Amino acid sequence: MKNFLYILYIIFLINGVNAREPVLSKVLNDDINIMASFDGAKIIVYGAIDPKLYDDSIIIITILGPRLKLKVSQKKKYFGIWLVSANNANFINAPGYYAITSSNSNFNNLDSPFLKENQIGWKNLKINMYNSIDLKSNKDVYRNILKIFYKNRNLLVIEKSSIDILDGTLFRADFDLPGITPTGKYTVNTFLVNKEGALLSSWKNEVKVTKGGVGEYLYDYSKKHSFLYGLFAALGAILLGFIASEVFRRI
Amino acid sequence: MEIYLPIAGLPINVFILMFLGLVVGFLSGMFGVGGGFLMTPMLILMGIPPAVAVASEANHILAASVSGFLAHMRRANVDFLMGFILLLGGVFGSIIGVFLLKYLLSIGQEKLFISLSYILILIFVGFWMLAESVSSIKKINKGKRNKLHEHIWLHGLPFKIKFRKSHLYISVLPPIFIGLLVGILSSIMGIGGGFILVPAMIYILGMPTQVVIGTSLLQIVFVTTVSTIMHSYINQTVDVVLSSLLLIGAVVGAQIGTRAMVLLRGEQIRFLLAIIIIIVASVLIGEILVTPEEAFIIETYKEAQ
Repeated sequence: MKNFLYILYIIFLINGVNAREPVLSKVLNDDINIMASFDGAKIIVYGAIDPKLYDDSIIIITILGPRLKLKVSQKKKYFGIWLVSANNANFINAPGYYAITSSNSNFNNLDSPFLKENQIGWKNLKINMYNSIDLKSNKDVYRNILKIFYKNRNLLVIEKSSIDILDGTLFRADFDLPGITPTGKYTVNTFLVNKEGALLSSWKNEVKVTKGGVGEYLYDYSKKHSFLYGLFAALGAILLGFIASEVFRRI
Repeated sequence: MEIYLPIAGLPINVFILMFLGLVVGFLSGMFGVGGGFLMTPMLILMGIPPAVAVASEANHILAASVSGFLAHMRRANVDFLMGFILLLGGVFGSIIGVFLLKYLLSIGQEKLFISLSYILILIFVGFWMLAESVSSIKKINKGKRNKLHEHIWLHGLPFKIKFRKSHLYISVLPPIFIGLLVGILSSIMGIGGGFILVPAMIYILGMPTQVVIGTSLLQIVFVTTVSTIMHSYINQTVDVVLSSLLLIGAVVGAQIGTRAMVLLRGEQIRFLLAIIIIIVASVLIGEILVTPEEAFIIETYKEAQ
């Protein structure tokens, strides 16, 4: 069924490409729900480009997760002990997830003015922070910390060429979302650029990642009815302990 | 198999959690400790935010100690009067602790505070118990018998009461103060407080070891009830999915532990507990001395919109 839809969709895309845009893309699953058993998901981007442009152009796909407020604290060694430093940086709009990939492994030209202007590539992303001026001069240090943190958790995915191309016109790219990925709106941008990094065409999709199931219900209840939540948590624990005790007495 | 923890906000392996619960549950039943001093650092190591680890652990300890407490009550190992006096301080202390944690969270130093508290208390209690239990094992081997309990000046304070079950006639002030202290620590460290209560009751109050364990569980049940409710109400940090999963392992472990306890003598139990406490303290010290894999902490504290 999925394959059938995929084929239908490609036919639609090819027609679309010829008729309107040099590049078109679509996200297969644009509504991802994090259930209680969530251990990651995939965003699958399908698309097509104008075959005439294939040889001279590069496809770039980026996924930008919801913006978050983050606090970054460094650990430092004082008298031989690792402690959390009192200095910290607050990022006010760090992306909760970022992925970038292209169709050409040699593509390295992230300094092109177009890419800089449109914040394509991790180093071109504008991330603001509020803190004292002193900390702002260390912004690169904190940004780098953020990068390592995200990479270790698969929240930052930088691939040189993970876009598969079929027949010089159809393409597909898979992106893994780790379990801790934040909920919210994810923007999928597909760019078609020339070898110098100038824009030929672009296409934008959105993916909604939500929490669902029992987990979300519990989360909401804990925020809205904090006292009752605590009361039920306590009573539930007492009951479970009692049941366990009774069960084991009979064994 | 991974499961998503709604309050902690991350997915985690179900079987690791249940195994952790089983091990800690065994210790709980055996030594009359909630096991939080072992569990909370483990949860933090697994990436669960310290404030959520502390609060969910209080909820987990509650269930584990209800089951342990009932088992001890059936064996008539509980001094209810002493338990009630301890609770006067304990419940109040627990509420103070929740607000103290709220303050530490607001200045961002809760992790440091929690680690240092653990290290200081575990080392102190561990070595004291170790030294004492070794010397009392030696005495018994020589054939001498300990006095029922040593009378110290604290017992002479006003408001004396007769505790029949514990064979004591002492002031209520030391138990109230001990209860208060343990209540505070219970809330901010995510522990039942058994590993402080048990030695305090034995060495400061002079209670017999067999009664101490059931009575400390009584105190733990009530104090963790209060801290579960207060943590949920004030800080919204209790993750019931997390605590329930720990519990599945813990109830089984606690029953096995309670049965194993009957096979050992008082000073042997104290000796083993002391060894475990010292091992946990060493791991925590190692953690602050060894260069961390990631020399930073990142917290998401609010969604920007």
